[in-house]
Amino acid sequence: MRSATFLVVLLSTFGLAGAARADEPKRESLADKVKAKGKMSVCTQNTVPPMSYMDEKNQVIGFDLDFARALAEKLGARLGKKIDVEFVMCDEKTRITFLQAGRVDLTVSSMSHTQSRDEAVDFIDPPYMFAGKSFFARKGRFKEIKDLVGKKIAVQSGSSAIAPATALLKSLGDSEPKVMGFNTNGEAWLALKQGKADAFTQDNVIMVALMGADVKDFEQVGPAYSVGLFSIGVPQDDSRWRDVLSLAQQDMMLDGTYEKIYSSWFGPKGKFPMATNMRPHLPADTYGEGKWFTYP
Amino acid sequence: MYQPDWGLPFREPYLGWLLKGLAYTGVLTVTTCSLSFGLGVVLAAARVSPNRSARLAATAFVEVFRNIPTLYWIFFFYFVVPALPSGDVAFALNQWDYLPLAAAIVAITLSHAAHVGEVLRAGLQSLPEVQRRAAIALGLRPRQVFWSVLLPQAIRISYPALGPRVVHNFHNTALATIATVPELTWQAQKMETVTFRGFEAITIVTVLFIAGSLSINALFKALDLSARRRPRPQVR
Repeated sequence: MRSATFLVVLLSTFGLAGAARADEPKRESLADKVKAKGKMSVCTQNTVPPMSYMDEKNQVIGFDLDFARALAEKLGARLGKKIDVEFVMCDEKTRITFLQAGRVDLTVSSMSHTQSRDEAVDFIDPPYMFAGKSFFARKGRFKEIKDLVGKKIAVQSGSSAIAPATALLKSLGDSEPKVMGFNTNGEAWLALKQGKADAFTQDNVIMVALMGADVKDFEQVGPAYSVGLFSIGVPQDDSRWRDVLSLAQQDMMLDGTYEKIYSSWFGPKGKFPMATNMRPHLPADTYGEGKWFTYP
Repeated sequence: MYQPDWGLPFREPYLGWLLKGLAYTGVLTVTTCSLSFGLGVVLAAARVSPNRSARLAATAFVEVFRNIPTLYWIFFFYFVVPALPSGDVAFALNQWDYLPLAAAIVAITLSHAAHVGEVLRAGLQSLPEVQRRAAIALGLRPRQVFWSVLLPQAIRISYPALGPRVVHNFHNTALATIATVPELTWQAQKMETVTFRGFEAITIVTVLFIAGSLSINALFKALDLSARRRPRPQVR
């Protein structure tokens, strides 16, 4: 028995030595996990028209969902395996925690890339939509943002608008901005309509879709005060996942897929025609019109 | 690894936010508990009253408010009620700065009163019948019998049952976030949005809620003990 034990120990030592000699193992990346699973979990919302919301048949639809499906297709081409999309419903408050907890592989939920969010999660470059936050109020009530000092502002709890809107109003002289946080965009919009709030602040694209036919009674107050660069969100410190998603997104922009989806939503014949160009384009005066923000 | 920053809730401006939230939670708890106790007494009286319409009205109230969750009542009083009157009145009501607080207080009070009323009614019905007969025999009028003899005893024996209900009401004040009342849980969410340190925010709020619950329990235990020291009704 003694010699058998000795033999086992001897052989396992060689085994371990062999393993130590092997190459440094590649750091685990979501790119590998997603390829192995053949499926990526995408976090998206369901109360943010036109990005991800419920239609009359209670189906979740939106630009974000179409974008995510096209992204999966391009990702599959890059990874060499078909990737299915699994949508996980979250809201503004849970999408960051889901990413941190590993519950989802990425978020496509109209999340603006902000410096404070960068401390918690990572974002894909370039952003997939160039939106901006503004204040909306009933037509004729306010002429400029300064008039909103002392008024009640509705906002969705967890929105990235809370910090810049509060800071802006404070800088204009409001010592304690009355920011009312509602659970969903719908409730905040209802509050504005009913008069519970004097203004509503949200990304312009979301506001226009939310207002729908009522857009004729409401107007934007002042210019966009905060840039809203909607970007895909991913967990921290996963370079390969970030790179392959960025490449997939750029593929989409270069081969016309993105433009197709964009026109179906925001083009002149789209569901919510937008006069502002929100496509990720490079500055026209330097590069010419319509140049996509991609890396050569 | 997530490194908690335990100093965060005690730094400005977060400390200020939490204190403001604590003030709102305190106001909500104290007003709803006192108002619903008063209403609960009225309901209990009506439920045992010889007057049939009073009994029916109270029973209907209790059934409606007990069987529908408090959360729905807050939605109702904050979103639905202000939309019911005509245009100008509705608009003025919606513009009222205290609408969120008022709606939350009304909803939580009515909901809690239904439960308090039932607890007190059970207390009333468990009193020995001889108490009522003795009071009448002493020449007291029915109203005095109820308010001076039966009700105080019913309240005293209900303390052990009321304690948990009041703690539950204290927890329910967190539902006021739906009506945008900036109480403790709302402030914790705000902290989380701005700093992404939700863990610290929620932990502090949890500690405060536990402290509050334990205090309320201790209060009712003390009330119950002092009630037990009084001379008990003798049943011969």
